[in-house]
Order: sequence, then C-alpha cells, then structure tokens
Amino acid sequence: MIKKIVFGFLYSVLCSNIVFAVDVEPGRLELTLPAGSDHKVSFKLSNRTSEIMVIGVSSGDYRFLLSENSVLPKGKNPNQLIKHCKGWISSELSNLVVNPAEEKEVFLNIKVPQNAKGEYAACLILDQVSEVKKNNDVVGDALVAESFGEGGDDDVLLDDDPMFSDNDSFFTDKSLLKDNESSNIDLSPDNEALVFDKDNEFNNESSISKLNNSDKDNSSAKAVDLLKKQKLDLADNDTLLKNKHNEPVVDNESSDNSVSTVHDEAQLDVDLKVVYRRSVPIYVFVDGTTKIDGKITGVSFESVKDDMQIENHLSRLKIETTLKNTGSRHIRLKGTIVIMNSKGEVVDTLSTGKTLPIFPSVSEIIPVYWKCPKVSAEYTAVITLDLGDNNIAQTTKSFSTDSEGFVVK
Amino acid sequence: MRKMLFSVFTLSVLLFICITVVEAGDWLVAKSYYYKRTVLPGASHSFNVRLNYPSNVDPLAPATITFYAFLVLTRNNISTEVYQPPFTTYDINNGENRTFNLRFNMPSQEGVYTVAMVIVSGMISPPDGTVFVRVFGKYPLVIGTPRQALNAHPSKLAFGELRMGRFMYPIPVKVRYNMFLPNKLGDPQSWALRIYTDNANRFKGIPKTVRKLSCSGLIHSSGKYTMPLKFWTLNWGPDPHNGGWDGVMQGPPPVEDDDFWKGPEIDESRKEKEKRDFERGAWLSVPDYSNMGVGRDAWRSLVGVFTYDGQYLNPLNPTGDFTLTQQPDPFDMFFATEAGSTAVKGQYSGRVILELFSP
Repeated sequence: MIKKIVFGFLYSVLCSNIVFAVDVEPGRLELTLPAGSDHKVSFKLSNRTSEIMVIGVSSGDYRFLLSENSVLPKGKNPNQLIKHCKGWISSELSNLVVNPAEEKEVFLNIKVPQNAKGEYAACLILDQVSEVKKNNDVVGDALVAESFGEGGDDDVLLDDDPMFSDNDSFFTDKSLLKDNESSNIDLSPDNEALVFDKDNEFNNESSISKLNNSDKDNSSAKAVDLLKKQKLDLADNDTLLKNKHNEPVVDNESSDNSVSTVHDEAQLDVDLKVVYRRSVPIYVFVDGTTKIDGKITGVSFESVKDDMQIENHLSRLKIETTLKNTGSRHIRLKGTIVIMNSKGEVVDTLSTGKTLPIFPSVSEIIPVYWKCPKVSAEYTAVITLDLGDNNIAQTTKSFSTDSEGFVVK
Repeated sequence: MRKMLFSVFTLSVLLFICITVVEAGDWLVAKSYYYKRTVLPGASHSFNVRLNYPSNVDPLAPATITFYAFLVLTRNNISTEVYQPPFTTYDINNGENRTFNLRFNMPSQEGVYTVAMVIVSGMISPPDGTVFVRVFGKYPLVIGTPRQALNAHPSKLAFGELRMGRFMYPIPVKVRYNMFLPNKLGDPQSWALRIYTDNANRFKGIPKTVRKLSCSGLIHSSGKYTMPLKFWTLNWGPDPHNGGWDGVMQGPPPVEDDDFWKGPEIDESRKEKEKRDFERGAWLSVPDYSNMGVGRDAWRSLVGVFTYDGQYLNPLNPTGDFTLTQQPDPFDMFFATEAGSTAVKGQYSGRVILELFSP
C-alpha cells in the first residue's frame, strides 16, 4: 500500500507534465459575411516547443467572459443576447500534428444560412491530444509514448515499463491494457454503464482516417499510430476501468445493497488528469443586418474612502460611466475622461481602459479612478467613448470637491 | 582689478546658469503623449509627445529651444535609461505647439515597465543637460513576445487508495504560463484561464434514469456515481484577516475544517444548508462544463488579466506602480476530494480541463 502511494507520487512528479505552447493566430476572428454565403477562414498554429504536438480541432459554443460591471437586461441571460453558430462551422481536420518550430494552418468553412440576421458567435476549440518528445521520452499528456524524432524510428514500448503500464491510471493492470488493445473496449450504445458521446472531440475514429488522408509525411504517420494507441485513452480510461471492474462491487457483508458503500475497510482508487484547451472566439456579423450604437446613460462621481496609500495631498475619486449598447452587435469600448478646472484648463486626462465585449442591450459600468487634489474646486469631466467604426459617445458632467478632495456635488 | 572683473564675470555667468536651470523647467509643457502599450524585446518603438513652448513664459527664454529626449524605463525598482542611438536633437520655437515622434530601441529584457520621458537641453550631452520637462506615462509598457504557453506539472495525480473522509493530494500542480496576447493595435487583450471538467460531453448519461445528477467531479468506473473534486489556489484566498488562515505562509487550508471546505459560518442557528456562505469557501468545486452558466461566478478562473486597468485577478497595487503588479506565475494548485458515507467503492477517475479563453 505505502509502496504504491510512494510509487504513485514519484510517477506524478517525475513523469507527468503538460506543456502547451502552440500559438494561435489570429486570437480572435470577426467576420462580416453576407447571408447564404460560404466562407473559408484559416488559423495558424505555431509550435514553439521542441516537442511534437497533436492538437484536436473542433467547434464549440461561444464562451462568455463578462465583466463584473456588466448589467444585463431584466429577465435575460447572455445566451439570449447572442446567437450561436457552432453548427455553421466545419473543419477539414479534426486532429493536427504540429512539429517543433512548425507553423500549420487550420482551415474552417463557415456556411451562413440564407435567413441569418444579426450577430452570431462560436468558438474554435483546440485540445491538446498529446505531446511527445523527440528523445523518446513521454511527457505531459502523452499516454502511450512514441518516438517522432528524426533518428528515433522505433516505438517505445512503454508497456514494459511499470511506470507507463497504463494510460490514465497508474494502478490499472498492464494485462488489462493489453486486452483492451485487442479492441475489447465496449463502446456500444448498449453499454449502459458508460455511454460515450461519439460526436464529441474525443471520438478519434474519424480523426485518424482524416489524418491518414491529409498528412502524408513520416511524422504524421507515426502520429496516426500514436492516435490509434491513444484510442485506448480517448475511448476512455474510464472504460478501461469499467472493464476492470466490470460488475458493480457487491458488498458481501451487506446483503441489502447491490453496491457497496465505503466503510472503514473499503477503499477507493482515485486518479486525476489535467489537460489543456484553447478556445478561439469567432464572431460573424451578417452583412447589412448589424449596427454599432451606444448611449451614455449615467455618470457618477464618488469619493473613495479606503486604506489605499496615495500621496497626502491627494484623495481618490471614482468616476463611473454607464454605457448601454443600443446597437445590434457587440462593442468594445475604449475612451478618455478629460478633467478641466473652472478656467477650462485641462487638469488631467484619464484612460477608461478597454472593456470586454459588451453585447446588445447590455449596460456596462466603467470605473475610472482619479487622484484628486485636496482643494475646494469645481471641475468638468468630458467623457469620450470610442465604440468602434468611427462611432463616438460623448458627454460632459460637472462636479465639485471640498478642501479634503471629497465630492460635494 | 582684473581679478575683480573676472570674479564679477564668473558670478554673473553662474547666476545666469542658475536662473536658466531654475526657470528652464517651466519653459516647455507636455500637452499629451502616446505610445503603444506592447512591443517586442529589442524592437524600435515610437513615442509621440506633444510639446508647447508658451510665448510669454519668460522674457529670458530663447527664441528656439534645442532639446534631447531619453526614456527612463523602470521594472521592479530598477531603472534603465534608454537613449536614441544617434545623438539627435530637436528644435521648438517660442509660441509653438508641436508633436514629436521619437523612436527608441527597447531593452531585450521582457517585462512590464513604468515609462518616463525626460526632455533635457540639447546643448550638452545627455543626461547632464538642464531638464525641461518630465513626462510620466500613465500606463505600463509591456515588452514581450506574444505567447500562449501553459505548463502544468504534474498533470496526472494518482491519489491512491482512499478511505472515507476528505483527502488532499499533497503534491501541488504547479501551473506556469506565459500569456501575452497583444492585438494589432498593440493593446494587451483580456484573457482568463479556467478550470472545469467535461464529463457531460463525455458521457451521455444513463438511459431511462429519472433524476439527472450533477456530473462534475470524479466519475466511478461504472459511470453511475461521482465524487466531488475541489481545488485551491492562493488566487482564491481565504482572506487571512477574516478566515484566520494565511495561505501564503501556511499553504492550503485544512480540508477537515468545514469553514474552508464548505464556507464560513454566517448564522449558527440556521440549518446546515443555510448557515454557511458557500460562495466564500476557500476550497472551490471544479464545475462541469454542462453546469456552468454564463455568469462570472459560474466559471472558475484560475488566473486572468482584464484590460480595464491592466491589473491581475487579485490586484494589490494601491500606488499605481505598474511594475509592482506581479502576475502570479507560477502558482500552485491543490486538488482534494471527499468520500462521503454514501460513496461507492471502486475506481474513480477524472479529467480536469484548463482552458484559455480571450474574448
């Protein structure tokens, strides 16, 4: 038992590591396309590591990253503010081998339906399927390692190494793995215990055939072998484990239950794996059906009384500008606040920073902090927000401070 | 007599120099400036500054000022002066408003820098000339190569055989990352590194079941049972002032303590489900993708950068010194699980996804 745990720790520390250093260019795609059109786009993947990377490519739902200052319209959630277009996107490849220092292109077809209108969004999902070092070492997520190096022409038979006897689970029997290699994995829909979603990115069958057709080079052929072996993993370690524990464990001591619960003597084996995913947003604006518009709906000034240490002669003032997206596509705000004194002289110019995407009907409260002099004075703030495509929202607001720099009006 | 004349002359010259030094600082006014926020290491970078030489500033002011400009880039309290390779001077006439485009070769050391431009008299070699004006950049300059790299080690954890109770895997997963995502305008973009499981996409579920349970966490080998999976990083607390546990000094909070595992008690008199603030527990559940809504709280961001202010997830930068805003890299992530009294024995496994997203 102790031996196993120590062995497991050593295995974890020494032999598992994920490295993902594939740069995706562009990091975001915004397209204006006519309804009913077909469009081909490409992403460049650059491998900055010294290892071969196998990347799973698929399309997925758009991921929202909302600011804590976003105010959604009542009764709506963001999924109702933007339409998803995952189904419009298809890819020629579902797995891609990127060699060290290599740059590869992923081509996507986007088919816009005839009746499409407004803004749509989806994501390109890049999953790290595995990585294999040139020098025959397994790293990271590589579950059955292989050599892809120029000089390395033989597969590394890790099955012989107890440290690599299993894909996911260190404690799984080596013999079991070999059994499963001879296609004993139960992936049939009747397998009630684990009904595997064959449509998702973990279904490797189509990937392998596609890869065979598309990539003819040597390393790709080896990658195909790797993928075939990884089928074991992708078909799921859990499935392997299911085969290992084919029947629910019956607790002999308790005849009432069909499966045993954990008692002091009973034990659980737990394994965990960390994998990497990169999602790249794709925004589609249907030509002639979207517009950029926004309105500043409020400006407030508030003195901030906190423990933050700033110079003695200054106090902190928070300027909150609320902008509502009244257009029909998302906007990303960037702007300035010019503060003038009563003589009309510019006292300070503040940047609002750049916001996250603000979707239609959503209001965004933009906080900007100003180090305000501790003098009684009257000021005017000119707030200018750039909504994009030469659309500007601007407003002017006056405020005054007392001798402590606190807002009094 | 000669000596006296010489002394008077010397004193006059010194007085003139002193007046010039004192007054010269007011001759030029920086109206505005602009520089791109990101640049490649060692690349040439453009800084625009709009200067005004007011006509009524000083009767002694010359008709034309010749000046030289250099940059002071500060990172981690270490300042570097950056000069233009050829000694180039610029002229501005009295009463003129003019924008100058100055180019500098950036240091090769990657990092976040605080920027100051010093404009000095061009009559003497820099940096000894009289300082006319200092322009302090209000936003940081990030020198770096665009990267999207992530490293997690170890990426496979074998918890071994567990008994009933809570168990924290004692070895942290060390997460290193190099995310630098400038857009074409040179602005850094927001990003977040999220953690979740994707069990629902992986398993369609058990046919004909009446009740659908949350499928987050670790899955039993039969596919029918789950065990919760929680994680802790320093980025998520607990607040040492409120929780009494300093994660920096003491590491991960004990899993046995319900205050950290479930959430601090807010009202003892209430039932268990109501008496705790489950949102503030230091150990956070790893959600499943299918359970996550679109709100910020539903997602578990390990770390991220938001471009409102260029600061990081847990900023502690009250003075506005950009160089003090340190990215928590690398950071440690601990995993823990709980085998409750109803847990079914057998083999459990899980796959945690770390997803980088930049909207």
